[in-house]
Amino acid sequence: MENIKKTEEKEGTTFYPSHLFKEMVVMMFVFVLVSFILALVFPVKLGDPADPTDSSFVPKPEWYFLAIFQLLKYFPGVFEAIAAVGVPVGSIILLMLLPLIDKNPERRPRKRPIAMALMVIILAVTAILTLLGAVT
Amino acid sequence: MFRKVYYWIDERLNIRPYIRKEILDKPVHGRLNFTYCFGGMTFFLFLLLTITGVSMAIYYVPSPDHAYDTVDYLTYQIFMGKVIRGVHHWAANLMVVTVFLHMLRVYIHGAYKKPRELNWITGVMLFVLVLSFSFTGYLLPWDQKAYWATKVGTQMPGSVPLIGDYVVRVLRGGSKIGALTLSRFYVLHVIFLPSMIAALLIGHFAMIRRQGIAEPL
Repeated sequence: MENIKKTEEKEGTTFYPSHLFKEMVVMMFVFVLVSFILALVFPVKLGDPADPTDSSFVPKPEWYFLAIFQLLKYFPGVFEAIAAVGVPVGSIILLMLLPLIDKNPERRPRKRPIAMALMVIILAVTAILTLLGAVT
Repeated sequence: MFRKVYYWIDERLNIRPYIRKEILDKPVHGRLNFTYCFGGMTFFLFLLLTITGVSMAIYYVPSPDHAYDTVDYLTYQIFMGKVIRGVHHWAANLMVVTVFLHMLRVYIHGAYKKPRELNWITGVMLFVLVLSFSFTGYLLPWDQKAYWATKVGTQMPGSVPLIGDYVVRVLRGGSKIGALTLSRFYVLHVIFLPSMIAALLIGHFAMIRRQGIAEPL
C-alpha cells in the first residue's frame, strides 16, 4: 500500500486532463462568484461627480491600502515619508530580494521557525492596521 | 469542428507533438490540492478583467468633462453594463486576494528557494503591477471617491525631501489633479500596465513550465 502510494506520487499525473480539470473547476467557481453573486447582489456604485472645490469629502482608500493609510497617522510631520514611501518601497524591495536573503534550502515550514514567525508577525500587524484603518 | 481546424493547422505546421509534449502530457505531481490553484485563479481573473475592461473602453472617454458621464452611460444604459462594470470591480478586488494567497502558499512551501528565485522575483513585480492597476483604475470614473482618494494617494511621495514634489508633479502631470492626471492614469491603466503584465506573465509561465511546480511537501 505504502509502496503503491509512493510510486504514484513519484510518477504523478499529466497536466491534461487531471490538473487542467482541477483548474477548470476552480475557474468556474470564481466565475460564478464574481459575475452572478458579487456583481449582481452587490452592484458597483457610481458616486457624485468629482468636485475639486468640495474639500469636505473624506476619502478612504480601498481595503488593501488601508494598512498604509492607517500607518500614515502614526508618522506626522517630517516623519511622514517613512510611512508614505519608506515602508511600502522597503517592503517591496525586501520581498523581491527574499530568495537571495533566505538561502536556507529547507522547505518544510516546521523546520523554518524564523521565516514562519516573521510571516505571522507581519500578517498580524498588517491585519491590525487594516482593521484600525477600517473603523476610524 | 475544433478538431478539424486543429488537424488542418497540424497538417501544415506539425504542432501536435509539440502541444502533446509541452502542454497536455506534461507530468504534474499527483498530490496537488486546490491551494495550488491560486495562481491559475489570478490568471483567470486577469482574463475576465481584460474582457470587461476592453468592453468598457469602447464607451469610456478619459477627460474630466466626459469621464463621469460616459461611466454613468456604460453602467446604466448599455446592455449588461452594470454586470460588466461589476465584474471588473469585483474581479479586481478578488485578484488582490488570490495574488496574496498565491504568494502566501509559495512562501509557506519555501517554493521561492533555489532554483526558483527568478520566478519569485517576477511574481513580486506582477504583484506591484496589480496594485498599480488598481490605483490607476480608481481615478477613472471621476466621481468624488475617485478624485479625493487619488489626491491623497498622489500626495504621499510629496513627503520625501528634495525629490518628493517633483515625483508628485510627474504623477499628476502638474500640481493639481486634472485632465492631464486623468489621461496619464488612463494610458497607464489600459496600455502601459497591460503590456508590462503580459510580458512578465509570459516569463512567469515559461519558467514554471521549464522547472515544473515545486514538489509538494
